[in-house]
Amino acid sequence: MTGTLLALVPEYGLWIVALTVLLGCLAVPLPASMLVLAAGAFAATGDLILWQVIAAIWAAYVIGDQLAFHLARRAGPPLVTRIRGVRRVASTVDRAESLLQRRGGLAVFLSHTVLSPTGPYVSYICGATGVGWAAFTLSAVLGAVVWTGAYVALGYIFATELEYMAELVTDVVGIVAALAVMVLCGIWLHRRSKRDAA
Amino acid sequence: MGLPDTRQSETLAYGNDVRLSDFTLALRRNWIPALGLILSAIVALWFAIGFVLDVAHLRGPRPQDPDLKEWMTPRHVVMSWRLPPQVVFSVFDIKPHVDKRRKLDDIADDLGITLEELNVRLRAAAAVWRAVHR
Repeated sequence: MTGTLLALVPEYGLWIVALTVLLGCLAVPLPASMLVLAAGAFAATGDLILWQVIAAIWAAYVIGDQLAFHLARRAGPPLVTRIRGVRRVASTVDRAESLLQRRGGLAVFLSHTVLSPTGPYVSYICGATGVGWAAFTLSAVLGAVVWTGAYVALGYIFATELEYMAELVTDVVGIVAALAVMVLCGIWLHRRSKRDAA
Repeated sequence: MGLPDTRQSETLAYGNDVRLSDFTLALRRNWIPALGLILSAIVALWFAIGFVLDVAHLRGPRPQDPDLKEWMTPRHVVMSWRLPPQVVFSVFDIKPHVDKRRKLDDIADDLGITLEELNVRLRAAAAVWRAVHR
């Protein structure tokens, strides 16, 4: 499986990597980090050109983020209003909105770097809850720089160990995604248990 | 020190039962987040075990010349086998600037051999080159 995915990069070049990153920003489940790692490795071997790899991936990340943000900005508010209409979750939505307004920049940056599997959802939530475009874009662009730089550098440095590095990255992304779901379910369970007890 | 107070023991046991049944009841009422929590914990553990195994593999001894894989390119082989490009390109029968991003399974197809056979040919050529130059 890993070999088949890695083979896409020499076969189709940077286009497939950029497209995967862009769709990944819209929460389409694709192995973006693995392909970016491979692009870094093929830049090290001279099959791809390093500056083009960095520029294409970073641009795809930024465009994908903007698409997610603006899609949510258009479609999100009616959905948020409807969710707020449910009395028992209204206060939670208010709290989430207020938290995003205060600490949105940090949330966006973390979700675009160390917590990258959560990135698309944070972009959607920011768009839907009215987080300012400039604040979102600044953090998202910085996050994209760090994410792109880190994965391309890893691939570039460990080019001869690409297959193992790709599996390691898949493990790390899987752990982060599973922990994010665990935290969400834990908060959900805790709140409902508290409500039941009251 | 004497025998334990039977009533106290019963109360404790009853108290534990109450706590246990409260917990069970809370799980039953909120089974969706509880199930999500358990499943995501299992998935996290699965990936964590994979991570530890992969790190152990990376830290262990690895072959000097890794087996050829279908996704590799000639330049990747040059880098990972630490051979001069002309040795690799000659075995693969390709032109460096024209076919630089061809995958090895395509190269093996062009030569009418399998990837394993290509691997054997390259090992032989590498052994000859190293015998002469080292």
